[in-house]
Amino acid sequence: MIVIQVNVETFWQINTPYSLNLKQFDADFFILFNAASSQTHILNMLCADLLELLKDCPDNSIALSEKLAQQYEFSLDADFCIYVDKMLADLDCLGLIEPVIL
Amino acid sequence: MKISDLALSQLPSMMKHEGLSFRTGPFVFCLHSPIANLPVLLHSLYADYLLVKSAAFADFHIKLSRCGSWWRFWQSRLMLFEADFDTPYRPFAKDTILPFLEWGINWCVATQAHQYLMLHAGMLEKNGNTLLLPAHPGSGKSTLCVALCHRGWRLLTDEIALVQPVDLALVPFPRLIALKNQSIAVFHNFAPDAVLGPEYPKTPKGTVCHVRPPTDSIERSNEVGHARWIVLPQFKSGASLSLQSLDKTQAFIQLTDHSFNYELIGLRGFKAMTALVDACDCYTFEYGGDLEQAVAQLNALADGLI
Repeated sequence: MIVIQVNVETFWQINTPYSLNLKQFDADFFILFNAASSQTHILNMLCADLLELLKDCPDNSIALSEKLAQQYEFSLDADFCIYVDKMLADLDCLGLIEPVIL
Repeated sequence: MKISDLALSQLPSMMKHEGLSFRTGPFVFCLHSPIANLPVLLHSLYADYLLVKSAAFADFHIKLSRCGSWWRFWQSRLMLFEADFDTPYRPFAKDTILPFLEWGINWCVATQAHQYLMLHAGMLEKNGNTLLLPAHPGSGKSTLCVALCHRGWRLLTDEIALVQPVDLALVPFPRLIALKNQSIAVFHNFAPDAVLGPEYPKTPKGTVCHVRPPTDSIERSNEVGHARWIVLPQFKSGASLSLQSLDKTQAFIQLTDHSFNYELIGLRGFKAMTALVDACDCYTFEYGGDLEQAVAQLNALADGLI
């Protein structure tokens, strides 16, 4: 049996939504400028779409994984859920998202 | 009135007392110095810069002088560069005075002119279109700049590219072009008639020699440029010429790496930088020793043949 160890308790939201500026030059990458930190980040498509989902409302890792898997027509397996969870942790470290108590 | 319109004999007294005020690009500098050999150098190498009345506003007050007289004898042979009471450099030897003056002037602009997005890049114009050459030191940027501006391109700058965030105008800041080490002889053969200053063999960057920009480039320094190409040059001894298209995300990353103040000016910087990349075709450019070939390749780009 595969145990998916992702945090379903935590809901995430964008930290400073009005500070984020996205620019896309080429198909594969987005450039994200966070005016609150003056830092620039290069995102892949999946990560940019994850932020886009969080723009609408806070969500947890498993629900976000489901939405992304559907959008990209990926199978919702353990590896993908862990990948999304890791992406959320990275975005949290960069100060782009934050956990929220609902 | 230009600096060359003054008699050489007027300069020492002016520099000692009210200061020599001159315009370079959008900035006015007021230079004070009692150093005896400096007027001769400036009369020749700064010949085309416009004089500004001494009482007028100056963006930067700079001073080159000997270190304090209470120091030991050998220290009295050291010079000090001051900019509005700041001293960015440790005292330096008298025989490196011009390189330190040039670095000092660039330091003033790079650390304070944040009304612009500033890039460590050359800028040259041909047929109304401007080429940006962002590069790290040692990549052959200055050599390429000086070669191009002696083959018909207008030099806007070889060191600090000033981009006006509001409209992306490229503001000229034509300074002396500092060539280093082997590139001095290469350029001397390339353009024997160019006006070169003395060679300074003992600088922290090796031997440095300054080239006076063409008169036309300084006279037209109130005409802004419009970005058309971003070319990242890289000199590699013996390499064959290679101009390769660069995707814009990569170009953007490279440009931010070459900026003095991209993060400092925040969203203005991001918007200007992305708009700049949007407006340009981007390339990497590797060239070997043949400057004529390198110039021909960039001429072909400017003439729409590539």
